Amino acid sequence: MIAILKREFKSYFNDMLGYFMVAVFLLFFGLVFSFNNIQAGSPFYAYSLAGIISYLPVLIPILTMRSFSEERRSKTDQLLLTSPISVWKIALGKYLAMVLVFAIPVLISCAYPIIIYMTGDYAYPLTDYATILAFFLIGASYIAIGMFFSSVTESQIIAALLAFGFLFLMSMLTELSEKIPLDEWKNAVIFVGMAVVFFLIFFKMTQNFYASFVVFACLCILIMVLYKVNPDMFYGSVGQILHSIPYVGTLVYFAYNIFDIPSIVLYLSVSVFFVFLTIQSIQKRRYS
Amino acid sequence: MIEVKNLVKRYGLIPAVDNISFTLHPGKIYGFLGPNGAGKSTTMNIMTGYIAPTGGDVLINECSILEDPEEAKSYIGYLPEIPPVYPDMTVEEYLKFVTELKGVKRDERKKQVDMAINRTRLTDYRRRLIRNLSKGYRQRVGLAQALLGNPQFIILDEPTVGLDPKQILEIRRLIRELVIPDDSVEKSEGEEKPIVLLSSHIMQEVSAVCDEILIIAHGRLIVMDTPENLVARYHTKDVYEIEARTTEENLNEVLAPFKEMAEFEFDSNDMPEGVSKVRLSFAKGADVAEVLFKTLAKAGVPVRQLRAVVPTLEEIFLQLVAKSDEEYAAREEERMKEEARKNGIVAEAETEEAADDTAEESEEATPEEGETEESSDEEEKEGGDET
Repeated sequence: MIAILKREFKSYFNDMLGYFMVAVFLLFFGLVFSFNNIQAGSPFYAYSLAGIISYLPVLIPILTMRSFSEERRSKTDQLLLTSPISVWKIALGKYLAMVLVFAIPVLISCAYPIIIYMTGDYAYPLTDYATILAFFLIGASYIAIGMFFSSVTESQIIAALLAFGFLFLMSMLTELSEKIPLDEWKNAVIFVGMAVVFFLIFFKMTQNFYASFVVFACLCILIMVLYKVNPDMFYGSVGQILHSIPYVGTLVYFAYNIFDIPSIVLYLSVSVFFVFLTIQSIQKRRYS
Repeated sequence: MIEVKNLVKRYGLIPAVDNISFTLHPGKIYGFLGPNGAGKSTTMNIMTGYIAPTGGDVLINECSILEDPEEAKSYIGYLPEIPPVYPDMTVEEYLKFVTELKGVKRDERKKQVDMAINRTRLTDYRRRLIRNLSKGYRQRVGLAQALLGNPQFIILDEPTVGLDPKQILEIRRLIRELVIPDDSVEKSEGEEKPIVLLSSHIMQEVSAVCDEILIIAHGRLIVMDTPENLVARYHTKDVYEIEARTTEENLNEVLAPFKEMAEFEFDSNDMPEGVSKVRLSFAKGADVAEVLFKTLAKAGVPVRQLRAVVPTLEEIFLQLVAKSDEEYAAREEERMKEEARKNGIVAEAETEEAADDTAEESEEATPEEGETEESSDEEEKEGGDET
């Protein structure tokens, strides 16, 4: 795993990508810091960070798009997968290398709260560092998501677009939840739509139409029965579910000086889940 | 020792590898031969753990590639068809990375990298970026990485494809040296001779390098033997080819005494004017070259050429592949007929059900899943009787 981590990390700096990513992140950190904290005089670097979290869905896919796609395209994955090393070590090595690249600008930005502390009248370094940690963990979970999409396709562009689309939707969950209609029947229809998506994914993974259809039919029957028994439970239900997982929105808790452990657990869980999905995606390709 | 047991790989319903079994022994170079799409690369990819089989297993030193993949893979050095090299690394960096990947001990890494570089004659290129190397040198880098970690089993997938003739000879020499090393190569104590399995669709290459040949077509292993045995096995007739300056009729007349012993095959189409060619096939062991010559000389027929025709490995290969093609076509036809028959029975049963027949009748007509061959045979018989 260490060998893969080292090679991957070095490969980012063998060409422009690593330097580009570090430079762009530093540019964003530097801009918000100079505008909000130096010019506007705000003592909270945490708020500045919360302002740039919405750029992560664009930047992270650029970092992750080549991780597995490029290996597949150039067939170097044959070296990795025929070496006496397990798939989870390969995935973890690559993941940690990308996290390390992302960590460089984040670590450099750790100097900003110190600057505020040394030069400002007020400073809240603990809040700032807690927010930086949350920001880093959100970025790390985005990297896991981007890596998963890179493992499903040979094309870097498609990997980046899929990751961007997914991350964009994720970061818009709170806004989306407000736009979803409240009517019971419309919510029920959305659930049926979700069942259709689930059916398609299940069918793609198992290649078994009947099994997938049975699962789909069961889900539809369940939705219909629940709707018949208690239609009120569908009122605004999709919006509520989306609102209850405000993922990116949780960064604000840290900025408000709340060290929200459930959010930390959520970020780490998402990372672990998508690294796991990446491993499954590679294994599935070996067996298909 | 490597044992491949009943290996099957299906893509959908199509078998890419169809129940292949063989055993490979140390110190030998095996040639994996087959036409394009025969299943060579798929078999090799399964043997190296790159893809998983649909059925069967590969045991490397009694270690299953499915149950204990990490240990099994530690015995393998693999050069795929496209060398798996990273263009942004130097040769030395890349090889060092591979030693780390293969879990070579820290103090042995440099020694192993040097050994691989020496063996593949890459000394002058060790600090070059791989992206700046030619195809031949990339191939050498690929071969060098396959040698790292002292693998007991080296798999090379079409190692000479796309190389120039000089590079082809170099690579062949390198492959031979893996089993019979030259004096310049330092060998560790107790190091066992490896098994080398190389795939190719070029017969000369395989016959020049390999001790044994495995011929595969349509995913099935057709034959596994030494080149000499293969020739001996398919050299069932003594064939003589005679080119003489005379007419076919005259040649036929002069050689009339041999008519009872041999089959005659005239083919003078490509010959210059006035020259005839005949092929005489005798039973094996008929040493008649001199007798033929004397007969022709006595009749005053000017002989341009008289030669014994021994089947080449290439001819044997083509012959075997052609036979396999026929068998495959027959199998496919049989399969399609079987499918059509099944569909026919199902369709028949459906019509009967639709016509609201009695339950007894529909039971007879519709074969249930998992029914024995006997019952389906009976149905076939019934169907035949009806017609």
